[in-house]
Amino acid sequence: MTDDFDKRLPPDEEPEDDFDWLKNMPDDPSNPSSGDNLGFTGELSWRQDVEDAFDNQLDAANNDLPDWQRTDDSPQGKSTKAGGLGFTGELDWMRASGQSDEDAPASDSGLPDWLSAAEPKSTEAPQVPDADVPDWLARMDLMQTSPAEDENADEPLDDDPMAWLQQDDDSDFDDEQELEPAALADDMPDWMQSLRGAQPDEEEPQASASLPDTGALNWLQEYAAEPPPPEPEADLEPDFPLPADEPAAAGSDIPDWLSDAYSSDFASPESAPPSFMDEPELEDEELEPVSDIDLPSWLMDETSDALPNDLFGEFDTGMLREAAENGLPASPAQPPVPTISDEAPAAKTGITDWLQRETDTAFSKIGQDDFLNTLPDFDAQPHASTVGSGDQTYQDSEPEPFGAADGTPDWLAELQQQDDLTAEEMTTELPTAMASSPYDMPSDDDLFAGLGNALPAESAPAPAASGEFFNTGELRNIDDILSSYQDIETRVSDRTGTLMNQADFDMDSLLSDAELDKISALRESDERRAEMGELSADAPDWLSDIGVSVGSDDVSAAAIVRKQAQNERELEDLTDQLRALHSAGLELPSPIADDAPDNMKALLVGVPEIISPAPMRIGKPSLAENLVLSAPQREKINLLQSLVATDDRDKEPELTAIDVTLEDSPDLEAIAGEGAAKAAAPSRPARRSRPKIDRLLIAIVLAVAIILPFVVRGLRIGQLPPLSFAAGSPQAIAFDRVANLQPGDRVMIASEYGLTDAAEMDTTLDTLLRHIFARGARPVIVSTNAVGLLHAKNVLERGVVSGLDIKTGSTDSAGNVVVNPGTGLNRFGRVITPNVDYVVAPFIAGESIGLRTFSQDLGAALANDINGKATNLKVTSYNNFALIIVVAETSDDVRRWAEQVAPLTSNPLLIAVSSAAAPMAEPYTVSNRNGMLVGYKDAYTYRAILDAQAPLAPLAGSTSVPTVVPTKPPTATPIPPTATLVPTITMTFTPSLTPTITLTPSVTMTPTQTFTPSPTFTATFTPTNVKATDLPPTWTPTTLPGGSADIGAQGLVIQGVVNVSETVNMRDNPSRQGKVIAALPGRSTVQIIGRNEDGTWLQVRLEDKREGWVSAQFIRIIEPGTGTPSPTPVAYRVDPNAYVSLLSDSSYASGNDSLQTTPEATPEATLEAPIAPALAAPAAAPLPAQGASKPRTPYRDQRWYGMTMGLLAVIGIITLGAIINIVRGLLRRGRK
Amino acid sequence: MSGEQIGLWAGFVFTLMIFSYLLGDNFLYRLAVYVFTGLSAGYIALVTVESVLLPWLRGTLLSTSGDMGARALGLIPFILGLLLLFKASPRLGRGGNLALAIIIAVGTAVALAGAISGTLIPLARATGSAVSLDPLNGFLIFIGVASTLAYFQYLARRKANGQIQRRLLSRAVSIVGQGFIVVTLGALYAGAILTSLTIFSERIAFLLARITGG
Repeated sequence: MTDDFDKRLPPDEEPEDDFDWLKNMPDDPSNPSSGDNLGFTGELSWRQDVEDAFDNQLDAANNDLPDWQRTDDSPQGKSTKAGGLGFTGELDWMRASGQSDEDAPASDSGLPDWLSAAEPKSTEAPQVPDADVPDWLARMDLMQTSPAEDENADEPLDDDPMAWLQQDDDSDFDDEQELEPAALADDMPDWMQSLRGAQPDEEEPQASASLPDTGALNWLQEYAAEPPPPEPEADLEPDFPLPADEPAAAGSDIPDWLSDAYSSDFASPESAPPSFMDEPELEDEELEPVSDIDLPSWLMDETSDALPNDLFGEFDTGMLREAAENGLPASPAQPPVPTISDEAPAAKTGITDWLQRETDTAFSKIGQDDFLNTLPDFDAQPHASTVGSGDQTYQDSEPEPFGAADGTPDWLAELQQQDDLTAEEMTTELPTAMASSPYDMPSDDDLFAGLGNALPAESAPAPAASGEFFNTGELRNIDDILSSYQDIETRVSDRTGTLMNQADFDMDSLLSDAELDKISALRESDERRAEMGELSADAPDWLSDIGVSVGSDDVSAAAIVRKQAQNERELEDLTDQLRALHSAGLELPSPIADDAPDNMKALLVGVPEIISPAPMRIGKPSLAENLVLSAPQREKINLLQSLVATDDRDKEPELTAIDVTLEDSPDLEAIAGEGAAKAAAPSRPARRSRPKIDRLLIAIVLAVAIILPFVVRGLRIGQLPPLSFAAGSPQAIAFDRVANLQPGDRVMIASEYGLTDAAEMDTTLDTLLRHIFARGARPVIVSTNAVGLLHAKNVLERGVVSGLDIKTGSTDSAGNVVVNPGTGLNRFGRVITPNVDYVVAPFIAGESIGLRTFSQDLGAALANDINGKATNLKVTSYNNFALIIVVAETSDDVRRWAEQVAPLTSNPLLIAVSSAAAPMAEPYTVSNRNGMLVGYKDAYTYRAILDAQAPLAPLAGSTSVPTVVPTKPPTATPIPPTATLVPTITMTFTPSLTPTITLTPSVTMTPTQTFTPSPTFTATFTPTNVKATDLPPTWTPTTLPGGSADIGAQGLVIQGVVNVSETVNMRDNPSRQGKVIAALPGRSTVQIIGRNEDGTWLQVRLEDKREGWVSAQFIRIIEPGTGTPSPTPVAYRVDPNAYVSLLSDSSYASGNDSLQTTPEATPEATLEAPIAPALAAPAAAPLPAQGASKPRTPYRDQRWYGMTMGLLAVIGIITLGAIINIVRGLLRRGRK
Repeated sequence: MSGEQIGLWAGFVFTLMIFSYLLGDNFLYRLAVYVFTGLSAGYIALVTVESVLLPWLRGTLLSTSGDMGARALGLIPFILGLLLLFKASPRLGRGGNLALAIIIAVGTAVALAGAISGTLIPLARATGSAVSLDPLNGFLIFIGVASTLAYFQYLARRKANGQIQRRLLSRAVSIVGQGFIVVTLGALYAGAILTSLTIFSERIAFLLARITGG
């Protein structure tokens, strides 16, 4: 869009004349008059003849001209014939531009100073504008002219200052400097390109061929950025003799800038009639795209201020009125009109007329390329566009260049060729002829109607006879041309307020206050609005769309707006977004400045209503300073400012990028509701000023649900985790793996969890370490997580080791075992020390790669511990470790070890993971049945089993720890195996049951070495099934010996727990028809003494020795060794020295429950104490504890109950949320 | 008060600071997070230097054995490590690409080999053996694996009307696989909730223990 115009090439690469019609020109300048050199030619059959005739007339006229007006053939062979350039209205002195160096030895002498100043080689004052030159022109000059450009600009200027006008024909034109079409397109606005796109092909130059250089638009854009022109220098005084009798008149008649502008315009091809007159091939439909939507962005954009305010200020009608009333004003710096004979007054008057017409035409067509055509190509031809000092304007020695046919436009050539037509006829017939052309061409009257034709009657010189110029076929001078328009009359349309031709109309009347008021009133009237549509329909399409006020055709840019307004819908009919835009638009600054003169509104029909003369300040760089921005644009700029930290606003708080993008994104609804002003200036959003109520409520509910079971016993609902693992489960396998460890075995433990999961995995790691130490194995802790390694080290050294309590062999007066807590001795009676009993290896960096590297050289990797001390480990492979345990919080850690380590060892890989990682880690336990522990639940059960197993049996053969044996040899009564008994069951319980049943209690426990199992016992022993670490099988009613007699005969003491919270009836026989003899409370414990045949009823014995039958479904049999606490306190056979107990847990030692480290030792209990299984094959086989106790840490159960309550709360919250959503959906649907 | 007691009470305070996030983002929460993050980062850096870099330097470049081969070998990762520092500069960033390429290539090779030997083969074998060990469970595993794989296959036949559609059997099996995937995701979600509850309850127990004087 408009920014494209800034993409200008350097001067030496600037494509001055890169239009198609120029590119198609032949290099041979010998045939310049050919119509082929024009942008369009030949399409009109009569055109070539007209041109040829016109050329002849120009030659003839040239011959008749005085010397100074005569154009000599340039030595370069530049043609002076018509056809090369359009009509430029060059003044006579401009003819000197065609002189060669010989004829014009010094350009300065042959040119007015202001042109000399603009000449590239003029190094004295190349850019100094005239003081009388309008600012905008001066700025144009300074902006577009630079020394570098001047140097490159155009050698022909040395001998012909107007040669730049002929560069179109210049055969020396460097093709390399031509701008390629693509580059041209970049510099052209879209609407221009649309015109170009309408061209049928390149061989038929169309409208775009006449388009001006884009430097014009650049000027418009850069206008405001240019500094004010410097003051003219004094040495720019005219160096040619000035006629003494003319300065006063000239100076009073023509403002300097007007004269200069006139000269410049005449010398410029852009001053030729608008390019649309050169577009014979454009058809209506091809011009359709030139609509209001194709208007230049600076015209359409509400934020555009590309058109400076000063531009209109300089061209207000006051100045024109002054020119009309006073003629050419006198000015001290105004040089006299050059010695152009007596025709000068007429010419001067003609200049005024022409300039007025040009001004009116130009500004009435703002927004289209033709307006830009009227502007000189300041960039490409800086010397020509430079308005020099007004002190010198003409040179008497300059020949009249008018005869340079290159500057004659085609349309004028056509006029000249019609010798038989009078000017009046031309004015009436030419438009008709042009209107009949394929394109809509405004008539001559239309083009030059308005100000230009409003000549003050009193100041108008005696013109030549109307049509003289055309009748004679001679081009005498510019006065003839200009005076031929005398008969064009102008008036103000009574209805539309626009200018129309009227014979008795002059500038004074036109610009009088009354007329202006009349215009304004008419413009505001409904009739006017109603008429706009009709008039627009009569106008050419492209004019209608673009909106140009042309003569009597009331087509203006404002008409577009009005036409749109007619189609406007009611505000209520608009969508919310459109209404928001509407309200935002109302908040924008008024497009017309309040101080805009009314005459500007009158003259620039429709333009002020569209163009917003927003001020632009050039100063400190700012992204959005003084620009009229819409709310979305403001938001984007705020975002950019926050990102690049260039926000220099003092008052407004700076928004962060997050604020803008997330919290304060453009919201049209908010704009509509709160007003565009607030939306355009976003305020700082509150940063989490209020908590999320819903989240807070959920958190509170969840927290309360978890906390309450800690303090309210009644809310401890649900069941605790089982006290044993199911046989064959991954958990049972894991337990077996550890329980099978032999003293001195090395166990590698990978502690792959950090602080986040420490609360869950600490319990598991702690339990595993205790079990490993209990087995006499040596853990080696490694990790690819540095934090996890540190955490494991702390758990080991500050938790497990220090928590290992040592029970002494002595008892107190009450018979309790004396315990030395936290002694940290191993089962060998030695103090647990690092790098002897355990190793914490260094951190393994690099995850998978590091693990693979670690696996390659285990010996070196484990040579030192985390503190750099020697570990004395002599390992060469993973097979040196009896077990590898991975304690991980994610499945990725498990996978890493399973992939990088497990294939390298034949030993099992035990996995302990969090609940979250369990599903994905599960597959790795399936293979090789490695075993797995999951979360807190399994840790709880594991710990319960360990506690129930305490105390550990001393090592067989250990000299430091004596073997604990019953005082009397057991005289076990052999239990005949039954068909329903599993051999392993019989084997496992026989040793322990024997002393209980048959031995007499003894308070003195003397170890004996004479214990020998009975022969019958061995008969039931199946060595292949003997596994010292096997858990007792799950007892079910079907495995019980049949009948109470059997159980009693076996001497088994089997207990069960009522597994319901309600009371359960105990009947006198195993059927529902039996009499209820007791009601067993929920969770109560009973002794099972028998069962019925099918096992559906169990015979139980209460504490009061009552016996009865209870449905088996309500009784959970306590497995021997893992059951709930026995009503009778567990007694321990006192170790004469010491042994390790796992019952203590210093990390959870606080709370309500007291540690039961000193169970009561009663004679009866002593009999139930385990005895050393001398018969057991494994020497380290632990003995199952009778009546295993649940974990004794105070909050271990509470945690489980809290988790249960929390889980229920989560389920309730999710369910409630789903219900609420469903209800809301139903209500919403109901409302609809 | 012993150092351990100070640590416990510091943990108590930091736990409350973390829980303050329930009231919204605040300074206390951020402070606790920053402290934990900073401590972790600092500790990791320290451990890495002491456990990885220094031993490596002592064993190679600073080795007193005078083995030039070991020194040269130790110089290679040193140079590659230095090249990684160039990634901080946009102009010299390409210098670190070599080290990254080695890391990525070696990592990929290691992961690929491990995946084959540690995941694919064992799982395939386990899936097959599971049937014999526990027919019901093995059958479910087999069905789950097969149907899930079927769900992720996108081969289909183009019909005469141009429509691409899988066979009915394939679609049916994929639906079963989709069911297994849903169950798996549900199990993952449930596991995550359980883990969160476990951690939360542990913290509550810890706080109560502090409050009750434990």
